[in-house]
Amino acid sequence: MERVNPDFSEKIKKYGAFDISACYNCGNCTAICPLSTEDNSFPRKMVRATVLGLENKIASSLDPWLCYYCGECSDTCPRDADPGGLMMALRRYQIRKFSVGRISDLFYQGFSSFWAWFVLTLLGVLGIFFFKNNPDMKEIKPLSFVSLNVLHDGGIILFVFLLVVSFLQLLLMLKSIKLTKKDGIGIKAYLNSFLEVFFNEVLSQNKFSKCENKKRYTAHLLLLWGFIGLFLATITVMLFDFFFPANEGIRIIPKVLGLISGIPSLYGVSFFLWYRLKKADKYFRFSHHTDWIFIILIFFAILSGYLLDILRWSSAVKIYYFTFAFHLIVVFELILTFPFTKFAHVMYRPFALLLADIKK
Amino acid sequence: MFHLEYDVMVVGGGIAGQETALNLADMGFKVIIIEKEASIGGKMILLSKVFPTLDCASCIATPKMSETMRHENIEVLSYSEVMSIERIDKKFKVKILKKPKYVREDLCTGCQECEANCPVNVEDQFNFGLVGRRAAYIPFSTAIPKTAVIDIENCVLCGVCERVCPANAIDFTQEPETYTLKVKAVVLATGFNLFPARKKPQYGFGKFPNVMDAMEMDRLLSPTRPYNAVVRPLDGKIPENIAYVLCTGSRDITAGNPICSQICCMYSIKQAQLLMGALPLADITIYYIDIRAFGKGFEEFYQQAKDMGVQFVKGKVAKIEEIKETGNLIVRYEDIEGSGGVKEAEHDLVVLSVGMLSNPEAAGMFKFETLELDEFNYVKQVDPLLNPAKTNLKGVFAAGTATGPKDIPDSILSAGAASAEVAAYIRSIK
Repeated sequence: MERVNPDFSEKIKKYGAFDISACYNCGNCTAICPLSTEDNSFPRKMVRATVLGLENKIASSLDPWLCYYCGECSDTCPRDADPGGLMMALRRYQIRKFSVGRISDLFYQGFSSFWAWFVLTLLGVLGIFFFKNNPDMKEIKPLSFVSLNVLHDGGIILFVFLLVVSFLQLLLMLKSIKLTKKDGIGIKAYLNSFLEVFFNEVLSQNKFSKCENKKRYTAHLLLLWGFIGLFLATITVMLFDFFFPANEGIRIIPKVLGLISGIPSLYGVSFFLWYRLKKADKYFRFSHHTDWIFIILIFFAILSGYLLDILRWSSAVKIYYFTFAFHLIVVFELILTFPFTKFAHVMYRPFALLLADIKK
Repeated sequence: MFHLEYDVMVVGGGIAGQETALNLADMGFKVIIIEKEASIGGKMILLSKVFPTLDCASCIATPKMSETMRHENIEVLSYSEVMSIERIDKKFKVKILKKPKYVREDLCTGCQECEANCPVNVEDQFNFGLVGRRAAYIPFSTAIPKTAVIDIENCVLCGVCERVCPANAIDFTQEPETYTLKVKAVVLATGFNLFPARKKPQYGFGKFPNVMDAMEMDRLLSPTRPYNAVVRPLDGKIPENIAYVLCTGSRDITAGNPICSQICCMYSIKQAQLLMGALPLADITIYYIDIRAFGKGFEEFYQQAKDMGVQFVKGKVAKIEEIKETGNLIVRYEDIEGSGGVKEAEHDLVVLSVGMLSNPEAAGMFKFETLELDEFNYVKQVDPLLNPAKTNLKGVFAAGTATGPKDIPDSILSAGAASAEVAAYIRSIK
């Protein structure tokens, strides 16, 4: 039996869905949605569930992740109830819901969010002071500031932590979605769906491209590819370190890859930053603090990364080490909070698409 | 030609204006009607039938129009506009602009010789562009006064009408005239505007030829209809599968009109029934959010349409797309009561049931005073329960859809209320 939470539509206001009770169930949102299909139609079902307070139904729905917030539903909603905004709010809600030990709660409540980020930053700063060596002040040598071992071990610890937490959280999501036997779960089904989703959806963002407004799609695609590039660059650095520790020349490959990948990433993140600042579109009318923090962290991570490469050719040694410390802290925060903040959509959305594909 | 002092000035010669004028004239008051079009009649005279009785609209409206015109206590000033209304003591000084018809109304017999010979073709505004008309024309076949008008903007000044007119009524030397009237009371019966379907671009009105609005369909179904048949605009094909999209521009905040227009459900059901008669083989589907059949006999009328085989589908149509090859249309909606999910259905003709918008023109007429409008730009009823015709200005009353969406029976009721209130007011200021 469904339990009703009569305060749910009030609760969801904190996540950025303000006028959802205005809905009179005409179905315009679902019908105008370029992503909604006959078998899988949204967002009206979610709106209805929210108004009725069917919290479990919402927690166990994949619909929020099938929506890319094209905004056509919100643009044409006869009641101005902003159904697209609700889907966005429900994604925030699910990120919180699926987080292990409800760690996300720390980052999604205004007051505790402030302290959480404050403490994290403090930890980063203290960590820098604790682990830093006596840097070479005559010549810029990044590894004289923080030793390779610290970076290497820290990276691995962080990576394992993320892997475990992400895996647990995806399991939580899988559990709440409640796949049934007839959905045909088998390794083969997963593999097929995985290939389908990975190539047709994640890499190409096919669904996103169906939105009428292509600007957000382009920016997001560039940001994504840029990120993949940066990720690959990091992996190659590690692999080269492991396999060819002596070969210095080969390092140029990840270096160039990183430099190139930074450009689309920077464009993408600047686009989102600028549009949210300007409130250029209806979809950027409301920005949750988690949106801001996510974008700002990425923006500074990439910007400081570039700055490091530029400063490398200068003689501003002090500025270089400061930037380096700043870069390390930002990246540390970004990676550590990956499963608990907006960043987590990177795993939830493809996983939801995968599950939806299996269900189909 | 006419006196310059009247008891009442009625602004607008639609059904509400006529009814108010007739009631007051029968009580012995001198009334003048100011009508901006070349004929009185308003919107009702253009309709096919009325709901829920399926009475012929022109059979009701035409006698009323002719009675209005012939009444000894009523003067009709057509093709005229109110420039200003100024309060002087207990009366109003009103400035009227009479636009030149370039036809002498006292001589014109309505023989249509000028129309037959005029070489110009332009869109006929009384048929909503479905057919053309001449630059010298009689507004429509049941126009009152039945005199010709020359549309000087489109006229090529060839002079043919002048030569062929047997009554020598054509007079190109006419100029706009202004009159100053004194009246004791003003009734605003300025009616409404139809929602322009272009303001809902998702429906492709004006882009896809086979998407029409309901007023055009009413013209196609009326006794004075343009093609004498119901055909679809693109190719003249007799439609077999017609869709109605309710709430086009009503109950829609993002389209700029959040309120219910009160008539669209019923006129769509009316048209569906008429279409079943005109095209017995056609399928008709009505897409609705809610069917609001609230008036006397309305629910029965709705059930009757269902029994006749009209399909009612709950779900607002979000988007209409055209199939290039056939000109048919795909409507996309969420089937809320049926099996659920997004559905697409093909129709060969789509009728948009457009809503009512206010006509706030009256607010601009008053000098040194402000006529209060409500939040939707209708004339504000300051005492809607006890004095429904009362406005915030003393001696100024409102009737019909000037104060909000109404169907025909309600408009006539409100005109009755207005005439009673005006009569009481005039007696009280004596």
